[in-house]
Amino acid sequence: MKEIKLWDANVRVGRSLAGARAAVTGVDEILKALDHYGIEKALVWHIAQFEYSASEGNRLVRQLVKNQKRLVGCWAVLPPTTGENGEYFFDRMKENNIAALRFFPEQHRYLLRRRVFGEFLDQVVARRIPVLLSVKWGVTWPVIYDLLEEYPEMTCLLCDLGIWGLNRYTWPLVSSFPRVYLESSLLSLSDGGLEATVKQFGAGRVIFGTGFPERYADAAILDLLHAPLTDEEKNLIAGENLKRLLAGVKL
Amino acid sequence: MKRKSLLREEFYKQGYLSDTPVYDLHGHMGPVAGIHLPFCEPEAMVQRMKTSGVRKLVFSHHAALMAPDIGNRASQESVERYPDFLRAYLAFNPHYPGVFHRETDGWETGKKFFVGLKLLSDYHRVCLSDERYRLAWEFADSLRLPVLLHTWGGSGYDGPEQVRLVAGRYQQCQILLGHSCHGDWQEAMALVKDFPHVYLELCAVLDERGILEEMVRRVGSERIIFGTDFPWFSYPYYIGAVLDADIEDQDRVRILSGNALRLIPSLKD
Ligand SMILES: [Zn+2]
Repeated sequence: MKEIKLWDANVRVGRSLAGARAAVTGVDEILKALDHYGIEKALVWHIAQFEYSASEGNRLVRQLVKNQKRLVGCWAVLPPTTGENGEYFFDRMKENNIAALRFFPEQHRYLLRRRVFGEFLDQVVARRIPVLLSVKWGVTWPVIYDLLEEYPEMTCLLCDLGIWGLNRYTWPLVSSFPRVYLESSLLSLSDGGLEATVKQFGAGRVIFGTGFPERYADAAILDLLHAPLTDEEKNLIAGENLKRLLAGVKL
Repeated sequence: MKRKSLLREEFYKQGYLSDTPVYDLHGHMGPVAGIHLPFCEPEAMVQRMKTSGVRKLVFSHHAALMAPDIGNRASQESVERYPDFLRAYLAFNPHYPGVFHRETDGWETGKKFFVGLKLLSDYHRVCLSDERYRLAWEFADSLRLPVLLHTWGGSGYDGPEQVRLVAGRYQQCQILLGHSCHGDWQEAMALVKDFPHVYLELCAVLDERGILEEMVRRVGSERIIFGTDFPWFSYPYYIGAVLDADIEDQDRVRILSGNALRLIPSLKD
């Protein structure tokens, strides 16, 4: 396969308070890494959104992606009742090149459900804003299942799918909810993870991600590049699916 | 930012390395309770090895580890079918030493199939240094066999303290630290520094960027063995991680290929 256009849905920036072997910080460093791996565009979040403060972390993301053509930001969300998300949330997303949301219910100590998010999440669903839920960063399977029961049309990207194959958790969701997608960085770690998923659901439901800088980007890229899939399927996973989702966001 | 790697370029182009046959010293086979493994039968596994340029896999069938009623026969049957691609570890469950006697009594025939031992203490819930393992350790030591251990940081069964005890006691065998005492990387590296017959092994290590670089710096690439838990983990992913690491190509060749052959020369057959 000659040309593959990579859009990476799972890049984390910033230094962890607990220290890290691998961190990328400034825009230059991130763009340099994307060049090295041949990644055209990346959806980024900041570790401070999780470890320090959702709003301050959101500010760091905003500064990072503002006016960047190759970076798009994810914001972290808190329960609307405490007012910490600020006013005109969706307008500010648009102004600041933010196109997706992340939720960290364990770390931020709230329940991710209709009782807490009510109409806010109805808006997120109606605006087709991708909601990134990471198993690694504390979103549990019962929470994901219950949330989708309450918001079945939610555009949802399940990220960092365990280091051991999780098809028994993920496949029922992909088969029940039409706008659930699987991020590939750890799906690719599982032998045959991409191949089996595509065989079951088609290539439209998997979205490429690397988990960089925490994980080796070449690993996820090479698993996709050499998977026994057609070029068309690879291109959908590599970038077309994410491109389509981001283009569909109404802010 | 990164040094150039010809091996990386080659793998990007074709999905295998022409002059560096890969030897994987940590594999399994067959279904397993906690995971849907879509391609876990020997036919599919061998096909996938070929595609990624993996010359041989040394494995222990999940049945040999998890189902004493089936045992090592499952491993042996697959090696018989695919002798060009597979060798097995004889799994030893300390709760059933009788099974082991039966298998090791036939070692002269067994050694065509089995190249070492596999101990899974965390799962069998017996400490590596426990008296019940003595039989296995003495057997491996007397034949100078490689012993692949499941090792995990913080485990009282097969964490670094337990490894240190048995590494001191049994010095003729070669001890492969499966998963490199996962999480307790510093202790695993200290063990390799302290004992010339102890090696790091990369299964479940490569999903975190930067540890391999640290290992190469501290203990040298000669002491690092490539392993994947295949068919759990993907070859393009795992080989890709080694190719992405900020180390030299000569380190990669040792890790993917040379070290395994030095440990088990018969894998070349
Ligand atoms: Zn294993």
